[in-house]
Amino acid sequence: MMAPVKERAIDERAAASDAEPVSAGAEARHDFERVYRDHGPGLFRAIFAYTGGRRDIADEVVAEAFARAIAHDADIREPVPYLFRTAFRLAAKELRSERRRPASEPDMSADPPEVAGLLAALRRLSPNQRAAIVLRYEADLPVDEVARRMGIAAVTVRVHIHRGRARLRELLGAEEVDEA
Amino acid sequence: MTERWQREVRKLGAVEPERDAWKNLEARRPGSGDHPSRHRRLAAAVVAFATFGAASILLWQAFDPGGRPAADGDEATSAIPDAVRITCGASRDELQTPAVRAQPDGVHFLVDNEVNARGILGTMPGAEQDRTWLSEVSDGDDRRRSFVLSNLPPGRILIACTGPGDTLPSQGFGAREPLPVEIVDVDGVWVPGELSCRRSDQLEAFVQAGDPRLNPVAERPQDVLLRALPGALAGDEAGPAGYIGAGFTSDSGSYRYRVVRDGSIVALVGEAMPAPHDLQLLRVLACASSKIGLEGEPTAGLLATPYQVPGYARCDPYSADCTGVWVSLGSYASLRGEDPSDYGWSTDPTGGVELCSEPAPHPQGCQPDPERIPYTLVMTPSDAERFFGQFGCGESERTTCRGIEP
Repeated sequence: MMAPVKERAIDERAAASDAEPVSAGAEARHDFERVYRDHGPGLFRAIFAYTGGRRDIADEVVAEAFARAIAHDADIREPVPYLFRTAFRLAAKELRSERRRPASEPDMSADPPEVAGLLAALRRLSPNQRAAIVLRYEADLPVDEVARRMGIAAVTVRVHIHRGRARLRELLGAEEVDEA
Repeated sequence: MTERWQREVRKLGAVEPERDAWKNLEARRPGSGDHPSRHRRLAAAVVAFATFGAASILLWQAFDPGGRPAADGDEATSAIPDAVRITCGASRDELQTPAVRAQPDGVHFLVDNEVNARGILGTMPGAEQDRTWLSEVSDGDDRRRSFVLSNLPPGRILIACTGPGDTLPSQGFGAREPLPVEIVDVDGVWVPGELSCRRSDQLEAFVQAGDPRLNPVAERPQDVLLRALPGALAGDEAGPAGYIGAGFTSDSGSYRYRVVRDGSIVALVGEAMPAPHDLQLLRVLACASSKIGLEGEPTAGLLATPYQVPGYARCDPYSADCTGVWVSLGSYASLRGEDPSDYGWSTDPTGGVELCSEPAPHPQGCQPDPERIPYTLVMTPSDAERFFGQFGCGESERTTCRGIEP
């Protein structure tokens, strides 16, 4: 019996290679300064959450994602999903490489005090759960858009959200509170 | 009204990137001081092309007609590219790399997709087991060049692009001429994962398990799976198989761990994966003679699940005897005061998760019934008795409790 293995394609990793852009030299299509103004902070927060509060990685990854988007401007139809997926992938790569290194624990004492408790709880979730929760509940994105930006299926996002939410309820509390 | 955790999550909105982040970012723009100019890139491309040409010659000299890789340390190995480069054309495919260096996370493909190809089809000729893979280029790809990551093992493979509408892997290459590529494990990044027994002696099993990554008491996954596997012996050793840096992908269908007994690989185990009714299963391929996956009660491999209802503590199966209590998703949500429609099941019948209590493929419009989706809670036997008594269900351990109202 054949045993087909469906594997996930990861598109923008081409940008991570040393390959020349597909359409080098084409005119700029997108105003990335505006894209950064509108989406940069949200992207930063998503990666900040994904990495469990690693500002150093989030800063670096966001900058690198924009640099790659700018370099491949002519080939990108929709820069925002591209930026998110590229940034998530770069962050995942960085976290993976850190795991392989016998590095000391990252310093968490620099967590902003207003979110220290939240970050401690988020670190008990998987990176994908963190990202899905933050994009859904902090950025208020619909599930389909969360899936698009994370580069995974909507049904997978729902599972991440469900599990992440259940965990956060345990860790942070489920009781209802008045909005300030 | 919002829940406390939601309010906490929204506090994250106060976290901002550095004030001058855009300026830092601009320094990375192409043409800025930190990046090569177009002239430098052109020069680099010329050098790369020349290197590639020389490498190709060396490479072809390094391989015998049977495609055996060069010996370790051969200078040709250092010139093997890190990614397979293939162009999917209208009538034929063009392969730029006759050999590729395996990477820690698998085999990298750079696909120039000129014809909206569905993906790359690969086979490994000569293997005892038929090995055919379809590495799909993602839907909605924004780029003509895509990156595909594959867990193909080292060795000689044949690959071809597949058109958007043609070929299932089982249908072979069709009109496309397959192109040979040698995957070379120069850096020792592949841990063999071939069973020591012949295919006729192999049996596939599914073992119930929680997701080790969600289990707060879990140790390394390989240790957890040894506990979960019925038939595993005390002296068995488990460890990762395949590419040493491969990430977990629940839909890869590949085996991630191997079980070694007396120096022979006797079982392969995939990590816990979503399964019908949202249970977690370990996919096991074992040599029948090892008895792995074949002995014990059907629930012998039950680990802690992440599911819990108020008033009943979760039991840690590593430190106590526990009982599995099956409740429907509707009942589970009801006991937690939640809306079952808010759960992670999909109304999309093609969403890939079998939740409609129907054999796949699901008919269009199939709507999951929350009362037919069982969840497993893990309780102490006394708690389980109390639960069954309180809600009047569970005549046997395997009967799902449905229709529970708190």
